[in-house]
Amino acid sequence: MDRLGDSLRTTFRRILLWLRRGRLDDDLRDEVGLHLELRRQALIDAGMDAQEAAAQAHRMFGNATAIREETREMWGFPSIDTLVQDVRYGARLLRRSPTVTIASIVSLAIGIGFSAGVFSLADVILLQYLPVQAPHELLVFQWRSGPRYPFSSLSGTSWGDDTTQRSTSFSSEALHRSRLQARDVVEVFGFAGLDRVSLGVDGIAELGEATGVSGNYFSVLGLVPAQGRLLVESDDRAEAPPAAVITESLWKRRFNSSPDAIGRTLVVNATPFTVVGVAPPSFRGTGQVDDSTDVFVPLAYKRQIFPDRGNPADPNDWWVLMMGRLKAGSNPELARARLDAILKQTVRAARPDTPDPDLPSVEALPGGRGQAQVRDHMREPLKMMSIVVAIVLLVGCANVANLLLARGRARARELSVRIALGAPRRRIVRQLLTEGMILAACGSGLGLLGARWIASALLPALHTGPDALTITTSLNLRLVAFVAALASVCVVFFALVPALRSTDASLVQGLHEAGRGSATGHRRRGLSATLVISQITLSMVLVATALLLVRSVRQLQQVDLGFDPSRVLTFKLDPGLNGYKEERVVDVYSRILERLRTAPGVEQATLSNQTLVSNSANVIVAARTDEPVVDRASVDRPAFTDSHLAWRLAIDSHFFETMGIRIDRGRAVDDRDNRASQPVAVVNYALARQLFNTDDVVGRRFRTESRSGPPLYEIIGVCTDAVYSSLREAKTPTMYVAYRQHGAGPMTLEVRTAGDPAAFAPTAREIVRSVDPNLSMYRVRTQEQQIAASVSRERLFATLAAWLGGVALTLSAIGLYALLAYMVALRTGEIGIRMALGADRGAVRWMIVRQSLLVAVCGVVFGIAVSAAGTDLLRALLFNVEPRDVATLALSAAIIFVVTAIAGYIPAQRASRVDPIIALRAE
Amino acid sequence: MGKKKHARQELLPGTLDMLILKTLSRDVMHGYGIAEHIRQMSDEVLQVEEGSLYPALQRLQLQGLIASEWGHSINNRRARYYRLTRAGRRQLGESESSFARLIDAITRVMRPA
Repeated sequence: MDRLGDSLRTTFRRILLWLRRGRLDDDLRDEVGLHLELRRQALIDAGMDAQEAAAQAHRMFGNATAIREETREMWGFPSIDTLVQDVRYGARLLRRSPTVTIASIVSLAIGIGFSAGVFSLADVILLQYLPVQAPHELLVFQWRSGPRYPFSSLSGTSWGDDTTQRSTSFSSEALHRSRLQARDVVEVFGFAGLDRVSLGVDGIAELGEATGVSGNYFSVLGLVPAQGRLLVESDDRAEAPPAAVITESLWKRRFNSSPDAIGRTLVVNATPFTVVGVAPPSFRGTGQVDDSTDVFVPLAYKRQIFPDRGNPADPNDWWVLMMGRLKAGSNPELARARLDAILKQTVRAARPDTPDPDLPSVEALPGGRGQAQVRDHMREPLKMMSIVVAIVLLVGCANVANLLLARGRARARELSVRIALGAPRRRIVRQLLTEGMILAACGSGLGLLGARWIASALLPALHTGPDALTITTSLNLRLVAFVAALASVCVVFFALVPALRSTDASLVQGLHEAGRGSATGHRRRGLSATLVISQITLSMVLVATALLLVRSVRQLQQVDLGFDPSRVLTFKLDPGLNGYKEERVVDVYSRILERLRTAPGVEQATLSNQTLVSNSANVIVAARTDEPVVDRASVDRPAFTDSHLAWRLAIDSHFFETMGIRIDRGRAVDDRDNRASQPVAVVNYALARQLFNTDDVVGRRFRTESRSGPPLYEIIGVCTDAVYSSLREAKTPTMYVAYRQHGAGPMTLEVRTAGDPAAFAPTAREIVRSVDPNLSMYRVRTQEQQIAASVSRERLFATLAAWLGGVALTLSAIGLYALLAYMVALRTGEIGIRMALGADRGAVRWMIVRQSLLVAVCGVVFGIAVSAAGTDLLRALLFNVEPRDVATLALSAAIIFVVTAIAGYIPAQRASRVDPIIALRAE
Repeated sequence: MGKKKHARQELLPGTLDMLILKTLSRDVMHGYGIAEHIRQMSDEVLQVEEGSLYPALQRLQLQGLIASEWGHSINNRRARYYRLTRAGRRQLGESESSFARLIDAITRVMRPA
């Protein structure tokens, strides 16, 4: 104890001394000066002459410099001092060879920057906890059932296959009972994304997102408001005064972050809410990572906000999400079992005929990160990105290793001298590692600066939804720790090996080595060659990947659309948000379309319930009326479904003219097709042949299995095949139905213009406003932009791979160049002899180029092997291109050969210019 | 000069610290004063290489056995004065007794029985 105290005290004193060491140096000099002066004086007093006295004083004192040195050593932590010394020395050396230094730092910065960018995305998407109290106590609940649905309608996310269904949506009844009956084991709370709503402040409406929450939501999460108060239990009743909590972003956007916002009125759809508080800044809800909510309202108000969406209290309508916080002493299994019993009970009550095996069972998952399905979607592309950036980082490190190795050779003599003078090898290795650390630190710093920018550039590649994903990545401790760890690994990889190698040379050899191919020389060259070959291998993989992706995007862009996307402007409207009934919605659409059609510069205008090529579609089952109904539970069901899928698009009149799709038989949908008349459909050739095996189908009828729309359609026309939801799915069997017979929800309006479609957007906005000032247009794009956006992920991956492939190839070329240049320098003597003996320049040049080609061949062969092994990862991203496409691999190989030949030519040229006389004299 | 050198006695290793502590046990002194005191007290037999005094002073200070502060010498120059700390005094006691035992033992071996 006492010893520990002593050593702590000593350490503390040393730190103080070290910090003040400049002062101490001066003090010591003064002290020594005084000593010498006093001694001189004493000697003079004893009768010595002045000059002799000064010399004698010095003699008696001893070596003042050595003594100062000894004292100074005592002050410092020797390790800190040597570290500082190493860093200074290293920095000086690095400054002396700026090309190598800059090349190394840039290589590392690229590798580390991209790694950090991908990591910060992964961090936000996969790792980050909700900013709530004790997030690890939270659970997310979902259920699993057999193929038979335990509800009549569901909104939210559901997934599964032919035998099981899973979803996170529950009925409000299940939520209510769970809150009451499971209280002793888990505090359950509910919430639901209420979708797009209109948010009115001071009479100005904008579209936004609302989340409904149960009364205990904020208190169970343990959140503290930024302003005002959060919602409480008493707000969550239909008869309570409507209260809303807004998010920081809405507060800023609509209320200028003013504290006066509290108490103001926010009109959500048609219901006026009082703003009672602002949620904490970092809190964006407990939903999916891509959820962005603007306002939290009590769940009890769902019905009033969406009067047309049925009764939220209906136990057969499942729409609310459930999470819970475990009570102390409880465990997830206890909570799960309790909720499982409650859910089964509510389903039994609501659907008494459900057989026991079909009752859904509850699953409880860790909820600290909120709902997670979107994250799962992003896992694959993230993995792909991680692999690509890891390759670049490896190539970068290999490059730095090679540069350091080459410099190590250049410094062989210096290092040998230092070893000969008694520097321990450990000390020199540490010196070289310090240099590596300086490089890594610079590279990491630059990389960190770029990481955020890279992350936001990569984000669109992860998410294919219709709206942009907003994720804010920030410079946090985890990221810095990750980068530091990465940099350390890099240092070990690129600096330790060269350091060990460079100090490995025996003394005598190092001093004597002129490098005439001694055994160690060979070994070191072997290491360099291995590094270069692995660089070329990895570059080959990236180049081949990039080419495959680029070809795939080209293929996608060359897909025969079957319609004409040029000069078409699209935008969406949702009049239902203003609380309009169906007839009024249809009326609004009709009047807007009428005015659009007569506007100057417009050739035609129409609408559809989905935007074409937006990766979303309404896919249902369609069958002939004479085909038997196959029960959902039947084993034949999956096969039946697969062969009877139909893509349904609800449209208005003039759709085919506007989009340039040809009607070959019969007629198009027009204004005669309304609620009162027979439901009609125009089918494309693909659907006509799928159903009836003939094109002659006008007048025939078919049935559909769908939760919405009429069950029976009459075919009124046949059109040519056109792309509907995605470029990857050309010629899907498609039925075009009249939207008036189908329900008028949010719609995409399509306007074919005579000139630039984008230039028409302001006019369109005016027309919409003139018909109804409460309507807002959203997702305004030309059809061509829409198509480009639908393949943005593929394009981004292709661009990313192409860029990084280029970077990797450039780095490898530099590595190869450095290796060959070194070899030429090493063999100058040999080349001189060869030339003196009559070898011509061509032969010498070929000798070097042959080396580079040999390395390239090895790299290409390994590269093909590695690409072949990794093709499965790529397959999902490719369209109409085989991952083992021979032409692509051949082209990549050709690119590698050309680049390596160029990298090899310069040293070869230099070798061929060796003057035998000078070379031999240098020996 | 050469003659005088022979009369000088090298210090036993490890005894310099003890001599410094002993010297400071009487008075607060600066470096030159300590060196001079040791020289005079030993009738100029013990010859400290004066410079080696300073690393020793630093070491003792780091160990917390002595402390120092700046003052002015008689001729009004900036001088650092060293004094014994309580730990130093304790250390001096221990060194003195163990040194005494050592000398005693050596004397007994050296004196013919």
